[in-house]
Amino acid sequence: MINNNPKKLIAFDINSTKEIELSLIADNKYIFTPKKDEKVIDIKLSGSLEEQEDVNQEYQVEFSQTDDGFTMMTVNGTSYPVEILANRQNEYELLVNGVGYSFSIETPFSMQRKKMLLAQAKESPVMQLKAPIPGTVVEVLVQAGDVVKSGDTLLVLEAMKMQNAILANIKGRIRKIYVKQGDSVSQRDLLIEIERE
Amino acid sequence: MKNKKIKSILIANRGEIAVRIAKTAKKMGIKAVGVRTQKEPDAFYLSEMDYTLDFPEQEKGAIPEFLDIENLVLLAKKNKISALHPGYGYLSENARLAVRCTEEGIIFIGPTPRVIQDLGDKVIAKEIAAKGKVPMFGGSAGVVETLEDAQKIAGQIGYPLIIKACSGGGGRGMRIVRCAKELRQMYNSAVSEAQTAFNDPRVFIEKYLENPKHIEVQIVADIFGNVLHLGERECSIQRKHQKLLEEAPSPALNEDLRKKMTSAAVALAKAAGYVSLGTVEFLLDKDKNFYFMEMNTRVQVEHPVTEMITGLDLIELQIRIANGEALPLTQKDVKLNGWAIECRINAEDVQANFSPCTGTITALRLPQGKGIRIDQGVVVGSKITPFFDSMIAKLITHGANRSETIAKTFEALRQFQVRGIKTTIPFAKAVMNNEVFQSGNFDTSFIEKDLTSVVFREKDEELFAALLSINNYLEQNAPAQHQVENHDAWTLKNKIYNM
Repeated sequence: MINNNPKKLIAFDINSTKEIELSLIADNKYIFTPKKDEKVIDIKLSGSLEEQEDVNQEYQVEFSQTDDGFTMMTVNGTSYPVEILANRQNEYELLVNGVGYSFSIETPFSMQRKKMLLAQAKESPVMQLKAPIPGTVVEVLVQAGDVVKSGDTLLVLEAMKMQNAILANIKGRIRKIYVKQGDSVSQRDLLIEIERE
Repeated sequence: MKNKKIKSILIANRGEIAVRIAKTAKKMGIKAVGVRTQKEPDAFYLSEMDYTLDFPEQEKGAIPEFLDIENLVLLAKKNKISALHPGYGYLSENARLAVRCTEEGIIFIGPTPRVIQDLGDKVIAKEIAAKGKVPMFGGSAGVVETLEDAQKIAGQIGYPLIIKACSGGGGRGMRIVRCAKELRQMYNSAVSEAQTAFNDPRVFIEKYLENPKHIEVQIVADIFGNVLHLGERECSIQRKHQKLLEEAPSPALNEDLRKKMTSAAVALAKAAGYVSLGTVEFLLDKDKNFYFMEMNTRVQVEHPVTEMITGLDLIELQIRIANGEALPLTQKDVKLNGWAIECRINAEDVQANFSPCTGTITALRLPQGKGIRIDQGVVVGSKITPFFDSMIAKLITHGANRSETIAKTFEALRQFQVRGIKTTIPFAKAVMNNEVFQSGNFDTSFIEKDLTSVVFREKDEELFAALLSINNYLEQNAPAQHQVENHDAWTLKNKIYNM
């Protein structure tokens, strides 16, 4: 069965610092053969949306379960163990060979919107600092109103008996502090807001 | 075994080191006794024991089981166990445990309480090192009691300097201070961490060496005054003073320097009146001057690399010494053969700043082959909880020379697969693949300076990930034909467990 769907999809590398480091556009052309669940995704690999016509390569993708519990993904003859860690709507967190990757699947339209939002966030005057790991706040070294520069230690977080310094990532003024000494925080809890100067 | 006093050993530890100790005990015809805690009642290490004992039920908020001296000693005494092995970490360098064992007629497998106490106190350890004429850094003459004293010493020796907990070790309770502005915060946090971590707020100050190499010498000494060294280990691949990868021998040493450093280590052990297995840690600067840092009075995590190149069983030597036997070999008999590398496999998310990772191991594939050894603390189904250390296994490889061993380690890491948690395997691969590491010319700044990516990515890995997400997205959004509940056996087990 060939399913020809004109809708294009883009895999967008969430962790990439560049706007698009790798974009994959699937023509969503599936080929199912009834014997084994073999799928062919027609992929166009390109550096940006405009250059999408440049590369047009076909990847043969297969999945198999091993007896010892791994999911192997084979692409054009190469096999790696893969794992989907999390999937929230169009966002994916995956492991290939134990290395983590984050992708969001976008249509050309949502991609444009995403790029716009990213650009806006970059210019946003307030930077929110979140807890990178769950832990206990050992010490808060700044007060609201303090002027800090990138690299300054703002607070110390203790997790698994290790003390971790939380540093400022921009130059600015402390707008608000959401935690105090002794507080337990979960991952991604808001710690401090810095106003860009 | 001649004069067999040790008939059974209570292993006051968990994980891979408990398995490691049990292995040697069983080989020697000694009963290995494990301690079962409520935090991990079906842990893998328990299945490797001859007997297991339940740790007495605890109230909430009690001290962790493997730090509870009285209950551990009582457990050994009540069950008529002849000896206690503390492993590493936990109580392994606690003189009080050694004292309590002796008082209750239990053989403590380790040095005497006095030696543990002396070497555990960094200030006294420096006095001993001076007696053995071992080179050391300048710094405070003793404990630094107040911030004002700290400022005074800082004025004398200059920056950078390091504040260390007198009872510290294993990279904890240390603060590096690079300028006067940082001194107040660093001094206060060092004191408070020393208090919480070691129950001893005393700290001292030393000149700090930027980017040294970390090299340690394995010592073994019996009660008859025989002190031998088993060569050195290179431990410079560290992150926040935590070792991640070790090798033996060190590519930084030639025969002359090896002789100097091992002789200094032996002299220090003799000056301390040392008996048992121990490790003298040194820092080496760019001009190949070495300085004494500390002596660890226990078995090290990285002891297998020494075992691989010497062919000796260090745990067996440790048990025999505790049993009152003389060392079965002399310095002449110690032959260093080939090269060995150990990679610590930790349940950590390397890409998220090495943050600890919890979960259940749902699949595990271990590398196999000649010269490959795995010391494991987990099997399929093991739960990684926040209660314990993140190390789940060690991969140790042995080859004829360094480059052969690096290649072998890299291949073994490629075969090593873990599902269910993130591990440091991709990190270890990145180290093996790094040219600076391969050159042997690296120091403790390696991860910061020379490692361009903390993970090694296989060819087209990112493409695989993108394809996988697109494929899954298309499947999810395809018209549903039938719904299958996505429950594997381990998820179900956890659900039942939590019911």
